[in-house]
Amino acid sequence: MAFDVMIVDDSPAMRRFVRRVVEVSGFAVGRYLEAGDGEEALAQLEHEWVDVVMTDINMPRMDGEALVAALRTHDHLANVPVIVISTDATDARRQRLEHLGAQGYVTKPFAPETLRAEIERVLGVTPEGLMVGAEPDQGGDHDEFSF
Amino acid sequence: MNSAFDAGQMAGRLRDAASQVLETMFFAGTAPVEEASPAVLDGPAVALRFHGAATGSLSLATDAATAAMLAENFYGMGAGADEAQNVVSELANMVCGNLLSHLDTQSIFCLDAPHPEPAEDWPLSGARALLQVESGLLALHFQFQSNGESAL
Repeated sequence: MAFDVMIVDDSPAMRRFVRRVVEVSGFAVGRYLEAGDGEEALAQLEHEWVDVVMTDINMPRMDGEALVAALRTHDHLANVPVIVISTDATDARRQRLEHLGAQGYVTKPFAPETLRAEIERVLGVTPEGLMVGAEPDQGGDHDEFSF
Repeated sequence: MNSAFDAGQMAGRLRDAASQVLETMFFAGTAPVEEASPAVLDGPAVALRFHGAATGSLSLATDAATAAMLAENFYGMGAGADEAQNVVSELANMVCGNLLSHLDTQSIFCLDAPHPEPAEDWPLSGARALLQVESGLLALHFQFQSNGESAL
């Protein structure tokens, strides 16, 4: 089972790094979508479904906090899981993002296995790529996925 | 915000933050260098400002060979000069965020996007640190500001 992933970061270098880390970690990805800020991410998500959004916080136009808030009040995107990837390791920021509705938080610097573990936790999949609670011979596709 | 560190203590914190980022995200070994003033570094030099519970700036410079090595490690493949500049900017962002998070776990900071700034323009005040990164050098400068003046 492969998941579609969106990476939101104003740094092209960081988007490329996150994509590489996800690939190196062995996590099964179908499609990667990328956006440079929250506005660009929302515009793409109006037309493209993803299984998880990974976003930075400090970005121009619409930052990560505003993106999470906008997703949570969106008719069709309210249940899309969001993992925040940030240099900000403060408790205050984590609590604020959690309150806004982010399900995951990874602090830079991070090891590849840390990001993979957080993606699996948020998506509710096992390291083998199975949905938590699913039998090994039960696959499924995105339409069957629910939160 | 606790900014009650002297320049020497802050330099140690700066080295620790940079080493953690370089070793975890760039797979590069580091070692402290005691000299305060590096030889001329011919690679990218960037700076960024932060705001929030305190304001200030972090600046970072390295040599061209080290920048290329960091970009290659970060991307997992060879990279051009522009990409090396982007990677050094991202490194500065991560070091600044990492340092601030360790200095104050309860306050929220906003980091501006890094911009090119020659190391010759670094202010004399503030904390400076020099790291050996593999076979190259990385120089860092950090300062808090209060009413436009250095508070460190």
